[in-house]
Amino acid sequence: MLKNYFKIAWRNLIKHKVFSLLNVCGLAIGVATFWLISLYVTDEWSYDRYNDKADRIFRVVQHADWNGGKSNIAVTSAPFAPALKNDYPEVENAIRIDAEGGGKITYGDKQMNEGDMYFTDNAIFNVFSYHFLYGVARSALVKPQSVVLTKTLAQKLFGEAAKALDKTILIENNPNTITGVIDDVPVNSHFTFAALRSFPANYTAPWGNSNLYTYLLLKNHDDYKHIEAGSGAFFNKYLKGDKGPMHYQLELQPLTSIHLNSNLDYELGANGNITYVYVFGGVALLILAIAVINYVNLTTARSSVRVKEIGVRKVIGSSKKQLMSMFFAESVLLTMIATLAAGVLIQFALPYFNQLSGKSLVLMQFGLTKTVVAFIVFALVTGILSGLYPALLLSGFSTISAMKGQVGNQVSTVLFRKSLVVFQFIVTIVMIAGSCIIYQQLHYVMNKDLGFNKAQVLTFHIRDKSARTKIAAIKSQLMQNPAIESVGIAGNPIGDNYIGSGNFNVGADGKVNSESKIVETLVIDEDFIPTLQIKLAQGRNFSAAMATDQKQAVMVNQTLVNELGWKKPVGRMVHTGVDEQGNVITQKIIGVVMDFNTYSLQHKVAPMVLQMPAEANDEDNLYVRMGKNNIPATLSYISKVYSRFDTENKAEFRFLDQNFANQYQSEQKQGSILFIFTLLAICIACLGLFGLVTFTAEQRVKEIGIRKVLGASVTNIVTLLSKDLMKLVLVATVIASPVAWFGMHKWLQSFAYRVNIHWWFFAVAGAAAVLIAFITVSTQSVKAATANPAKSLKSE
Amino acid sequence: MIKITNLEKFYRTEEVETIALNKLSIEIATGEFVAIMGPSGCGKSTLLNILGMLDDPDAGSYVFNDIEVAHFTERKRADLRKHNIGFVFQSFNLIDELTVFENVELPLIYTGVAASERVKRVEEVLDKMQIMHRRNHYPQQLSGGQQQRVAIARAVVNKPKLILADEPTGNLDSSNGNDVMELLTDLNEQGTTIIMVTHSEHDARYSHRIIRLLDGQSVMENIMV
Repeated sequence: MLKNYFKIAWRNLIKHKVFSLLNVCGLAIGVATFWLISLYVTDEWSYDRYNDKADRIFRVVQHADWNGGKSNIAVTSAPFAPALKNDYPEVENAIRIDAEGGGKITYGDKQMNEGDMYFTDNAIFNVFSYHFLYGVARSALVKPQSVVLTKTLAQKLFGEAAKALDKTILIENNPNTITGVIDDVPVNSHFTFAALRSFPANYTAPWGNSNLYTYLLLKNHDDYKHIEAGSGAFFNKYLKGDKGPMHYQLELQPLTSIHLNSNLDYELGANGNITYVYVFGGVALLILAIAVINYVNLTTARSSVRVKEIGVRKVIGSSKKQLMSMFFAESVLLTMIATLAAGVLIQFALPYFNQLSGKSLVLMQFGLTKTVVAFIVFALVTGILSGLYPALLLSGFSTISAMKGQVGNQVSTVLFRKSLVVFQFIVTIVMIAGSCIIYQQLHYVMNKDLGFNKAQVLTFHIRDKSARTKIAAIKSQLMQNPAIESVGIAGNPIGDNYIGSGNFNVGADGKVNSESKIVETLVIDEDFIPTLQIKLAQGRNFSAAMATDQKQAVMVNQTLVNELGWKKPVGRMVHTGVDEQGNVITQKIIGVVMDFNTYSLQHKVAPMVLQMPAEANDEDNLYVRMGKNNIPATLSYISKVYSRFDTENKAEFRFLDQNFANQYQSEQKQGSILFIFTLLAICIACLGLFGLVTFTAEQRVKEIGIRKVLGASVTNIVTLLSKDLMKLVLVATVIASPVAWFGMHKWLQSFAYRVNIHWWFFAVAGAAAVLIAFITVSTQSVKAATANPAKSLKSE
Repeated sequence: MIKITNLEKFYRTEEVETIALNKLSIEIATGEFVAIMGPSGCGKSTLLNILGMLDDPDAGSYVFNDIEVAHFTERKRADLRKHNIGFVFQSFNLIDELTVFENVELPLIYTGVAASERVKRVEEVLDKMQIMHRRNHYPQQLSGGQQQRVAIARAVVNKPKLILADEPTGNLDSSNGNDVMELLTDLNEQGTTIIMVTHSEHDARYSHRIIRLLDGQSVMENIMV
């Protein structure tokens, strides 16, 4: 029986080549898209799950808010881990990770810079599942100055990983013994590293120094609730003395939810975003739905072709169930073929998709057997889903009407089919509008005036500490080149979304008062403001000539002045902190700058205080404004000058506009992925339209012939054939607009500075859909309209 | 075998109600060969559809093999039909995508006959219909006469007790038409009951009895000698 079904199905596919091809192409693209996104989504979900004890591992993070500020940080301080282990019997193990263990590695005459080295406790090997190739997990990091390398780093240093064990290497000139080599950390981890180092003996630090990460291994998953509930007591016991009164909450983040759900300050790496996983997952399903709808529509539209066969089968004894099975066989066979084709498409598209998504996915991500099983199950499910409505409809025809060929297209079926087309185009138009708005927003953030001139400004970090004391000499040597217009200094590179913060105008006793603020603080020299061409609102810039400016003067930005409501800020004395002796530092505001963005435009301009460097070490970022001509020569000049002051490190240039652009990488990635999906969705939807209009033209060939004989023009006929489908696309535009508005409005909320959503975005999206649909439909309707009527009439 | 009493069937549109069968009563015994004749629209096809259990009557009784089937569900009717009734149509109604062999095999598949048994029975009946040499051809590759032989082969392969033939020679030339009538007569002689709708007096003469319908009523019966 089954064989018979598939045989018929195959012959039907062959007999109606055009429709089969349309169906297979549409489904193959839909299935390939679905699989690609599924690979992406499952990869995002898989983060950290390879750890055997993943369900019992938690990261401790802190949330606090107080009068004038709040903080949500992923970091804790060194005493957290021992204290939590001591206070809570539920904690089986507690470990710390301090990401600041990177630096210069020296072995013999080999030297390299490796940033990803973490200090940690030996118990890390009891918590996370790292596989030792050489060495012993139990004791690897027990002694100070021990280091465990990953295989890749060991190979880089020694050629072969096996040779690394027990060797001594210098890290920032301190000897460290290699006590183990482990497999590289899987990429689907929320943190990865090249090496792990042991802390100094009995390492601890003040409670207030939140600069490392604490992970707990609990005895049971649910124990975290008890520990979180004890936040208040924990705060009172250990932290209140340092921090003063505040609302404080410890959170224990399940290891497996960190990658997708955590977006705190000072994360250990760039995390993913659960929203995008949902959005992409949804888009994948919708694209698949568009493809399935094509099948449903083409099959039901063409039911009149099959109707007599159905009648005959019923008369000679086929039950409804048997007929349905036959139609399922057809849809399953078609999806099987489409899935195979999709496999080829995926293989072809994966390198591009990986480039776009920044992943390294492979088709057999989960092994051959699982992939094949998944493919078959998927084809079966998709096949049955797409075959369900046609099977129900076609097998439900009454025998006699079917035999007489009288069932054709009932009103309800036609209406259903039209709704499906509308649905397809709603999805497509929402995606077009979405892509359009993402593009507008990215264009906007890239080109918005940031309050300074970011063009042709290069920044680089002075690595060498002794070079930082010779800033004046570096500057004057650079300025000797006429292509260099000016050179300024700051404590941070702006645009990296990492600027320190501090208290501003605390009370005279050092306590928080109503005029105090948490502010961004940026250390700059007198040339920074002219170099960046930041505008002054009031007062004056710092001056090298005024000796008091270094210690006693500050500048502030307009936002700070506005937030505090000061009419005359210049000349005010403000408290900017407490010195090492515990005395409150008082400084005078000498100038106010117009707001400029130091963070990318997801962030609002924050209140800001500018200070001159207290010590030479604070000045470690050079800002160089160059002329437009012959930039390579200027760059090589800067390299040459820098090498005179720092013989060990090369100058790593970064352009300021690039710093900012980098902060939009994730949005750009999403934009590009969505854009490609949009193209695919349009493509599949148009295949469906093409199929429908081809069929309509075929069915109405006689009517078209008669109309032409009676004097209809080509335009009349094209209108006749296209009108109905075009109406559907218009209806879809109307429904899609508010949906797209809602979605994009939400997306834009992640930017502090954003474009307005104009009505014409949707008009453009709708018009684009109408145009594309019209071109698709015209190809067939024009063909039908220009055909010789004598032929079509004779064939009757 | 068949007894219908006061059978009624109406067709309604929004404005008109047409009576297709008007209190029709007929009895047909096992082994009979009956021809039904009458002008277009007299209810012949409606009657055949009801007798073949493709349609149900609006009123009246239909007893088939001592079972009242007038109000059977679609499923029950289908089940009774596939085991007991074979159909032959004017336009053959072979499935274009299937070969001769597969077309004839189809009813056996639907009644769940095992594959080896199916081959045996299909070959047997193709042989009998003298169409064996065409077993792997598709319907479009056959002449009208050959197609109707295949259709008859398909109708009889399940060994039905009753064959309903709707103008079986309507699309054939006289020579092929005569062959088909001979085949039906042979089947009847072997015990199969045959009810045939026809416009052709010539074909009707092969039957034992002619029932003439007008406006949904039986107006005359001729017993053939």
